[in-house]
Amino acid sequence: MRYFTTTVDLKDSELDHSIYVQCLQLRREVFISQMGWNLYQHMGCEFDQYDTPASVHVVALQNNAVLGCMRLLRTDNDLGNATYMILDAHLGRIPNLPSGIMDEQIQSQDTWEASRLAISSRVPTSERNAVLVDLLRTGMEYVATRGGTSLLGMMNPVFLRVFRRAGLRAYKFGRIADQRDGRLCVMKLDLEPGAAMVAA
Amino acid sequence: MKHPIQEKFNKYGFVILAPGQVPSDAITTFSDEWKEVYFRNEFHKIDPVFEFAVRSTRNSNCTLLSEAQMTNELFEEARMFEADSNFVSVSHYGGNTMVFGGVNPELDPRATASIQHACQATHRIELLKNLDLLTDTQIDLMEMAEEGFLDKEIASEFGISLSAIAQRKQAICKAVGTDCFKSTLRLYTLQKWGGLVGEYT
Repeated sequence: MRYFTTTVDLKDSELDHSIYVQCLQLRREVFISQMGWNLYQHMGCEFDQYDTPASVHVVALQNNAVLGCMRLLRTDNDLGNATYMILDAHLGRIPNLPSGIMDEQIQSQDTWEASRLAISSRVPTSERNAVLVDLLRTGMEYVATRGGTSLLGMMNPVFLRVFRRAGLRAYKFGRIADQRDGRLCVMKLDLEPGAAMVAA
Repeated sequence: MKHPIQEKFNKYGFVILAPGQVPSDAITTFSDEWKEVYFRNEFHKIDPVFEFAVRSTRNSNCTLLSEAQMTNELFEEARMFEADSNFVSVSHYGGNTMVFGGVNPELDPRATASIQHACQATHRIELLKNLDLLTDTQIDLMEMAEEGFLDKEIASEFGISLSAIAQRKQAICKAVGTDCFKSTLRLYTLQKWGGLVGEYT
């Protein structure tokens, strides 16, 4: 399966907005149509309070069609009554997400959050790990160019094994929480020292 | 995790049976006292719920019990515990069987197909819980199998023999309660990617 990964920055004046819209449509399919989560949607798109110009989106593209996407947000983000999704969940501010899920609260320019990961069913099961890891690597490269050193995510704990097999430095960063659709835990991925220089 | 059948019955109970296993315990909203009486007296041996299961060994199926089927000593006693199930479902997955009995005297016979669907979803949810028991090494094997690696490639990666891979697959199936690795892998994939993958063109 041939595809490439890139970032979509809403502040980019030459941004192809159709790619961003496809990300939001894919998210609607996964989180609302498939999972039945009670999230806000409008015009076939799912978006929330964290989809601001401060967020950056990593996409996997095949012939200009989005195969997968993931949202990045710096953890010192301040949206008035919200910070970033994992911390807000940790603090009990997000219904249907478990609270008390982080080993420690992080709000730092060095750490970014990856959230709203969605992958199209067009990606065969056998290639989903590769698409996911490519999205993460591209996200980590972007974070490195912005001076970041680590990435937080919230996923099923089996992904720790996937990331470690792929050579990423991933570890559990909180308790495993049982919730409606299975188990979740916060994980932290540390960027390789010098990753910023490589990415730059 | 909430059972999809929860709101469709006043009370219900089900037994999950791994290959070769006999009924000895149930997941149920019936009283503990009834559960204790039921298994102590081996009522499953005369229960029409299990008779239906014996007749449905190949396919998942469901039925509403007739009044005649519900007039015997077992049901007289069950009524005292509000455990007189009138709906029966059998679900099969990868060699594992779920036998379900639910109480809903108002049940519309036309609704049984959708309830059977909910019973099968409940069965899968119960099996998915067993995946949490897998060790890191077992997860690594599942990961390689999901990525399409052949057994000989997995064996080479782990530095073990092909027969050891077969044994490990068997151990995974046993932990999950199935006898079919492909079915177990499908469950694993369902749980792992649930919430991340969606139909989208």
